[in-house]
Amino acid sequence: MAAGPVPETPYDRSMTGSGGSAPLVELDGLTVRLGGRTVLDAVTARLDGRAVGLLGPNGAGKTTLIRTLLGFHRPAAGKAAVLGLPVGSGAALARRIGYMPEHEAFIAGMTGVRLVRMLAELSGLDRREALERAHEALVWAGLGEARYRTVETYSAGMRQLLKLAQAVVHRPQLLILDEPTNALDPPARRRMLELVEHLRDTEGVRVLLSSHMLPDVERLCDQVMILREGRPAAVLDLAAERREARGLWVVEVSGDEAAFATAAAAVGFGVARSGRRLRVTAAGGPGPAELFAAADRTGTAVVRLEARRDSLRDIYLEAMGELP
Amino acid sequence: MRRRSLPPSLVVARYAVARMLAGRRFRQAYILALAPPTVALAILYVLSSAPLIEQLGIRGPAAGDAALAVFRALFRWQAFAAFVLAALGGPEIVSPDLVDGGLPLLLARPLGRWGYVRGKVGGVMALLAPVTWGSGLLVWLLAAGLLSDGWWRGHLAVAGAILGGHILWTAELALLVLATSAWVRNRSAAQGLMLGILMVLTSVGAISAQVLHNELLTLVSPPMAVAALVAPALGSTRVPAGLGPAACLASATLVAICLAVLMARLRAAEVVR
Repeated sequence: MAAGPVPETPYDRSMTGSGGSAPLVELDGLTVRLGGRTVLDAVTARLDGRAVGLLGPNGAGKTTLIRTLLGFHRPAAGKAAVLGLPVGSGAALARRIGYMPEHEAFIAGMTGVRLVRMLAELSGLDRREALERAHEALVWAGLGEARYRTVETYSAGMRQLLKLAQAVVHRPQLLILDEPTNALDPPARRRMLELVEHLRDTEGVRVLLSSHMLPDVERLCDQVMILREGRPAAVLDLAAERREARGLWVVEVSGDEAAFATAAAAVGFGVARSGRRLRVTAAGGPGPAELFAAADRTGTAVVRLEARRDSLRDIYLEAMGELP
Repeated sequence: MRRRSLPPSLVVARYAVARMLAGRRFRQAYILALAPPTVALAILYVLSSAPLIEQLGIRGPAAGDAALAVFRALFRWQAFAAFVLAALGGPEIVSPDLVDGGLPLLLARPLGRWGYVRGKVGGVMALLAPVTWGSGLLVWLLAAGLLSDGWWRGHLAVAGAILGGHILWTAELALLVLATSAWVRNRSAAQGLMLGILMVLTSVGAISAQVLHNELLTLVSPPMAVAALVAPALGSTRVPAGLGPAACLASATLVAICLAVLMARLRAAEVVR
């Protein structure tokens, strides 16, 4: 697997890589039932970020949502549209999407270049162009030296990169990535993120990313939908969250901690225990001066005061109802 | 200049053909399958040669009957060869797509399940055509040139039976091998299952027809159903006459069952219940 800087992408500037101005995904009461169980329950959302992350615990419906958008599952009720085209609109939509599935996905007995070429042809490229693009995509993904090997001989990391290469070979407007960094070691994970970042920033490819890795979502996405038990628990504009001056401090006090917490809460802080420290939040208004005043009133001393940005982890845990 | 791309199902068919031809055993069997038409042609040449006929003591009208017998035997051999080739090559083009999760990669493209099945069936049928109806019709054309002037006019139905019978048979074989491969996923198991299904159906059909004294029951066997359709044209007396409509129904039932199995098993995403 090649390391180093991300090489030229398989895209060219004449492509309509931006994906237009249509919302990435629009869901209108989307309900999906599988095996007698409601997996997505009347989901309504409009996701128009350049890169949208799907978060949620196992079984929340992330993969089912992706598969429904790809047309693999038929909705029991409601509607969905991707890039402005209704789901199920056939070839027109399928050509605009590149899909990287979560699980192992290859066809044994085929070389990397032959597999990617075949998939490019299925996306509407003629034989010669498909071959050229397959080579470009594999070299771009760092599989240039392995492209003539049969894919069953690839390592787990190489198979992930192969899945990415096949997803971009036809130059889609939208890249749907389902757990792309699964089973990758740190260098391979970094490489994968760099490749996706490069497509997003340089080629204007829009991204729908499902991942358990919060740092990956935080790095790649500007909008996040958090799913919980088949419903959207939160839809966040990450960029706006980052801009918002939401106060978050981690405080350590000596003395009567409970009295300090009560006094801080009385002046408008949200107070929660976080290990040996207190996690203090304020949506505006009170700041560190009020915290010191609360300590004075209760005869405690602030030993440590650390300002923090509300991380995606905090937002996620709050949406899951797991934040104390 | 941008070249025209193939429709997705034709792309599937093209790669299926290449995949089957990549197998050494399949290629060997394929070459062997071209032997019966060659032998048939040699026999027809003998039948058309007046000095040889005289030496063998065959008279004029008997030569025509012998030619028909050659076509009957050729049809049977070609049908058998098609079965062997389908069993050898068919699982190779479906099992690998299913075992390692390759199917979602295919179905995320502008290719539906019907297109996938069309492509695979088309690939098998295209590859079997030269060793079945393709060479069969070639032999018929050469026989028409070799035998007496009026022979071809009186035996147009033979050409129709070769074409129609083999197309139906190869379509059934293709669907059956795809369905068994999709069902069990393992290549060897799929080959065994296909052979088992045909043997069991043929045995059950023959036994129940004898026990219940009803010839219709023989049509449970797919090869017998096809044989019943081509028998009148090929002058066969092995299959009772008048079974045509029932044979069509039996063939259509087999096709429907295979398609139902394929639609149930070929899913881009499996649902865990």
